[in-house]
Amino acid sequence: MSDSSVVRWQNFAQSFRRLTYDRMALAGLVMLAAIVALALLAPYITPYPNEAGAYANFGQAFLSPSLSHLFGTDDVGRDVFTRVIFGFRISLFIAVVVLIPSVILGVTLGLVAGYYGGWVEALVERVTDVFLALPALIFALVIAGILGPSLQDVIIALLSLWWNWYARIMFTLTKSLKNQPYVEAARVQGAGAFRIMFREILPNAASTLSAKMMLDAGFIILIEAGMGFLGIGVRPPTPDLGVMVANGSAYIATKWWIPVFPSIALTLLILAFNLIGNGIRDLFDVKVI
Amino acid sequence: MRFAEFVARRVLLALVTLVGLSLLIFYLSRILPANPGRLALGPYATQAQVAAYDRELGLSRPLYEQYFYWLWNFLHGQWGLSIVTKDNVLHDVEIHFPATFELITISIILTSLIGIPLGVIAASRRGKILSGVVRALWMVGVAIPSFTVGLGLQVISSYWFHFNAIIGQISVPPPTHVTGMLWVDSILTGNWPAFVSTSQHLLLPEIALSLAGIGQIAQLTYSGMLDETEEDYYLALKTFGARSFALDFKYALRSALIPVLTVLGLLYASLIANAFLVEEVFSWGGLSTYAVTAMQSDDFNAIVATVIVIGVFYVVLNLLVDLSLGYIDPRIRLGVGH
Repeated sequence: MSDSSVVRWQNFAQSFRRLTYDRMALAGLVMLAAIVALALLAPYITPYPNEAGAYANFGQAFLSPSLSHLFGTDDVGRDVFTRVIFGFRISLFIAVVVLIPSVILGVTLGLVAGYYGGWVEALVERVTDVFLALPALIFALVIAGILGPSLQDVIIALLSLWWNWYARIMFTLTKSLKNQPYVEAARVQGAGAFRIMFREILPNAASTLSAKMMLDAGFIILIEAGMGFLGIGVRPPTPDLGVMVANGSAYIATKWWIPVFPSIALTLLILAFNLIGNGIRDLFDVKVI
Repeated sequence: MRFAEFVARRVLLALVTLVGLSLLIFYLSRILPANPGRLALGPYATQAQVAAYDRELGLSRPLYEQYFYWLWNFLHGQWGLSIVTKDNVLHDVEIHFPATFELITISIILTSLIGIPLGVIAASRRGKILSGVVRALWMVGVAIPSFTVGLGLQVISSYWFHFNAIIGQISVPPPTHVTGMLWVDSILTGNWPAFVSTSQHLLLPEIALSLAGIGQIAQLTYSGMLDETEEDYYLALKTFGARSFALDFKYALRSALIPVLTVLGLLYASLIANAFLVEEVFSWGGLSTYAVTAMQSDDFNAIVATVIVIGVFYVVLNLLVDLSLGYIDPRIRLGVGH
């Protein structure tokens, strides 16, 4: 490791430690760690892993919560606890698969547009204006509705939307950071555009970006669940939390556990991301909408 | 930059955005699907019907001609027929939009009327229980899906409170049509039974729709007020013996309100998205219900129309927020600060 990467690692470790001093953020970190562990180990720790997807056993339908079925069973006899844990997998998978490419693409475009300005700037601004001219849920619904609802199309729909926010936020950050003294200093030392963008400006945008990413992970999960709930998202029998709430809502009056446990799981997952995101935001005093 | 110039520039940009949105929607609905006629009419339509549909859309012409043909028709109220309702889409939207508009407008009014005072009171009694309540409301309100809140309210109110107005918009004969907004119409026509019924039916959807916003606005007002109470002018007024009520509501609130008003504007625009979920839960016959049905049945004319209506609503509201901010705070017009 070079000296600068050692310093960066130490900075990161120190920031992380400071984040854990915030009780709310620590609660979020613990919740998220637990959920991620459950999701990763789902096939080994759930009591009935074969009941997560396409499975039916009407003899076991509508059992109320008990020791053998912690969260009860649903309308076709599947263990709700197993399906909730597998549901975490789908939610987390979608959040990661949408966020990482969006951040890479959006941040690169935003950096270039903010750094060079001119027509690149105008182009990126106008294009992102169009993509942000609809609320996120509606935009994703339209694309998934036209492509046809499936896990893959939900991801395409969210991806085609989400990079715009990172282009936007990075563009604004770059415009304000590129006139900072340390950027001037690097330029005087003969640093090229590439080095200035990725080694000087980008690290200084990291706190804002990481707060935004945490809050967005929660938001993506919320929107994806909403799409599933409306029937224009991931399709049954995939154990999707939004779909589970939608299907369970028909039985809410008598078999409350079918929709209630997936709802609680969804809320806790989103809450965990929001707590961490808000912690990072407070820690670095950055503005993220 | 003079204010008129600022307004002109922003309006122009909004128009460019809407043209871009129309291009995007045109692409998604007409070009992306390999065979829009077949997709819209379904597998049982005859080849002749598909050909007639394609001819109606002008699918054999060059793309740019198709776009302008479509745009021209759209601007002249020719929005095509819905394959679900078999009616003119423009007419469908006129029927369904008022219900959604009423829902979200009442929600944003409730959000301001509850959220802002809650934030102010929490700030004036710092460290007390109320500030914790505001923070918890904000955190949980944003994390909990609005369809979950809606379902929970339905169960709780019907089980424990025997409150049965948990589905639909009204359970008595609707009032005479004036605006299409049932609650407003029942007031305008002085129809007391309809007013009572629509008010009851509004109660739960409004809570489900407003909860997240109330938390957000209360938290924003609270933190804005706390910042103000550390300003010199506030301390000076306090030392001169200004009464705390006047201090909080007359001076601190005024400065703290600018970001709150911005977020209220953006929230109002984005409520139309949450209305999709809340309308589904409460079987509310608004634009969202119409749009979701259209999406589930590949009803392209209806999808395009609802998306454009929502896009115009969203862009115009964002524009108004921008313009009012520029009016209040000249630094924004000049592009400094931030």
